[in-house]
Amino acid sequence: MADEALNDRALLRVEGLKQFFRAGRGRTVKAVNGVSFSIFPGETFCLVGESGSGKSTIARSVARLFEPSAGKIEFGGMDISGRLSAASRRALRAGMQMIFQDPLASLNPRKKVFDAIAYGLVELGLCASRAELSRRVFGIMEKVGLPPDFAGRYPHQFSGGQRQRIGIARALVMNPSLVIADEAISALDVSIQAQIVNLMKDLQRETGVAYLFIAHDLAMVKCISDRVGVLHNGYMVEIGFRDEIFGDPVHPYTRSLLSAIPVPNPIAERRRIVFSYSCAESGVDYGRGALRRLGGTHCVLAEDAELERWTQEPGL
Amino acid sequence: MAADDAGGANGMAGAGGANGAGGAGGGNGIAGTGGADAAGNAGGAEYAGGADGADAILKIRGLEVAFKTTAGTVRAVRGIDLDLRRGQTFAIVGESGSGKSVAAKAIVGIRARNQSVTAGTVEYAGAGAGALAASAARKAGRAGGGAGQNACSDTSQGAGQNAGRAASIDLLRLSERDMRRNINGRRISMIFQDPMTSLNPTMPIGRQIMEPMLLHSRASGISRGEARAKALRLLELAGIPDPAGCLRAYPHQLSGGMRQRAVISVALACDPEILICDEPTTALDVTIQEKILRLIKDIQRRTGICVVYITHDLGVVAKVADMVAVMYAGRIVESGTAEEIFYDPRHPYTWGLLLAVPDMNASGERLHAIRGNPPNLLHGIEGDAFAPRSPHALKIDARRAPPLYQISPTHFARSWLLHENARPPEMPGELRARIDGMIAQALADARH
Repeated sequence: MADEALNDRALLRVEGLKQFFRAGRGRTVKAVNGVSFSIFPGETFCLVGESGSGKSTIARSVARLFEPSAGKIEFGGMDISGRLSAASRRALRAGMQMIFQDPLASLNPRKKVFDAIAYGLVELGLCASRAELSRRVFGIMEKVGLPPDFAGRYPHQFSGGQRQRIGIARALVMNPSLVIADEAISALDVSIQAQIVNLMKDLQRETGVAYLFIAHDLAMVKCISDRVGVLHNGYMVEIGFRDEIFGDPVHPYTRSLLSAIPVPNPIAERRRIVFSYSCAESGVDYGRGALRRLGGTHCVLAEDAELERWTQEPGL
Repeated sequence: MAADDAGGANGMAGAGGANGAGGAGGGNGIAGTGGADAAGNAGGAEYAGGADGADAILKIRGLEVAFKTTAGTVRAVRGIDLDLRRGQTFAIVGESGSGKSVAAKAIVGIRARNQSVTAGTVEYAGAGAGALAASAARKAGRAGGGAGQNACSDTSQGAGQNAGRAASIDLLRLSERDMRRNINGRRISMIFQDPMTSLNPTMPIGRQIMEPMLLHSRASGISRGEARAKALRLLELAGIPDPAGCLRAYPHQLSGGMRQRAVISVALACDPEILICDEPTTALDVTIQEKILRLIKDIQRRTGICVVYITHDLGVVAKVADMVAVMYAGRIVESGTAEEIFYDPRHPYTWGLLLAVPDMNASGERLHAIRGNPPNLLHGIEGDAFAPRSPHALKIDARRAPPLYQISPTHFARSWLLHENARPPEMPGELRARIDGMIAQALADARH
């Protein structure tokens, strides 16, 4: 990831991001503790990890819903980590969009679908005329598979899958270069999940949008990601191309995650052995480790002795 | 779960023979009639475990649940049959709106104000059923009319003598008070997806575990001290590292996984016979999910309770279930052992569900979505509810709902594709390949 040439092409560059929260009585929650990664145009980067590992916090810091405590965030070559100027805020709001887990909670119940989708365009004044606005809204509705007569309805009149289509339309109508999907498919049924994932992939192929995808369903992550970052306790413990992470996991936390993915195979499931891992038991201190490259883009957070031990362990 | 009226003969013939009879069995493929009993006596022993539900601890027949809404009546559950047995793990799989949660809640008597059970019976034959049946019969006798209305005919005598077949009682006919006193929490417990909503945030965990024990103390005669000791044991059983500390802790002081363990302790407080888990691990991470599922399995091994999972996660089902029922639009469309459902699925909806799960062995290519959306149960459904989404739909699907066809003594499916006149159904090639791969992998693992 250190390749300068590569980094110049990065759409989003996050370096040493720290996000701390005051928790009262002088305590600080270190939700994200020095995380670095890049996202390139048109790719899907997945963040995985257990709840509390900091993956949603990273998404919100990157979208600048939080003020980062430390570190640098660059989006399209523009520094967005400090105080935002009016111009950079505008560019950020148009170029980066979010899709949330619960589409009903993220849609205003009193706004019709048309207005919900058009809101960003209107707010940023991106459409010169009413006619252009309708053209863009109906255009994106068709792309995500929503019939035009849905435009006059309210969010509660739709099923979960249709609502998530509205959420996707609302994000993509802005022609963003990066979409952050925070558990965007977790609340959907299996058969609908597949529809939405296929839709997101099709739209990516068509528009070249990059996705920062946050998920806890690792089977789905394996299916959709180009690159994967594994988070634990606010640290990026392993990062690399999908096949590097799924094919040759090195960090014990990654291994424990991968060993726990349930598959629809009863005989194999009943015999499954799951690795258990905790920092305390295995004596790993993330603060002392450094991100070490194993070859290619595959990096692991480790100390020298740990890395040697882990790489000698047999594969999954 | 259902017996063929033709009884022993078909049972012997196995898959092939049963299929033929199934075609005729549109009306009576479902057990619970007099004929099923006769079949049971006439050598229906091939139905391992007794397919007529004789040894079932909970026997559900023709359960229908409806909601009255301003827009009309929503028929959420449209007639399901299930047998639950001791020591067995049953999984009900389906998408949201398939009626799986509504059915489970109807069993334990949790009903919304606008909800009613419009048909069916839920016969409970576990501990205490005899006493309940006897008291119900007494009450009915006092009321002067319809003695034995509440109890099954064979139980009014059986209850007193405690001999022969176990007594049973229809839970749907019990009053809310009787359900609360004698069934809920004591015989049948339920745990839900979000532990925070089932725990009282203002009460320490220990008191919440002791509460059901003390509420039912008149029957069990348990003292406060004993209840406390038992709460401690339960927390230990649930794998909580510091049980004594947890007893005093409030829910917000525990992590998500620990909270769900505490909820499990509450559910097991009165040694229930049946534990219903409604999406117990959906809110948890894979590693913690794994621990909770293993914990429930462990408790089951030790106590022999019947566990029912309600979930949409097929991976979880494969891990825990002995028996699986797949629900769609308020009906069970396929049921069988876990091996039958995962390695030999027959219903096109089951095919679709299995294909929609991302394949861990292949990556990058498109997912197999089931086209369309589930039907709106507000409108009456004509024919096969899945037909509009099924690439395998037949003409008859639009007109008549398919009957239940028997594929093996334990395997049933509701699809016209299984009719003897239909072309033998072919599962999608990709699913076939995937299943073959899974079987090969399982066999290879077993050899190691």
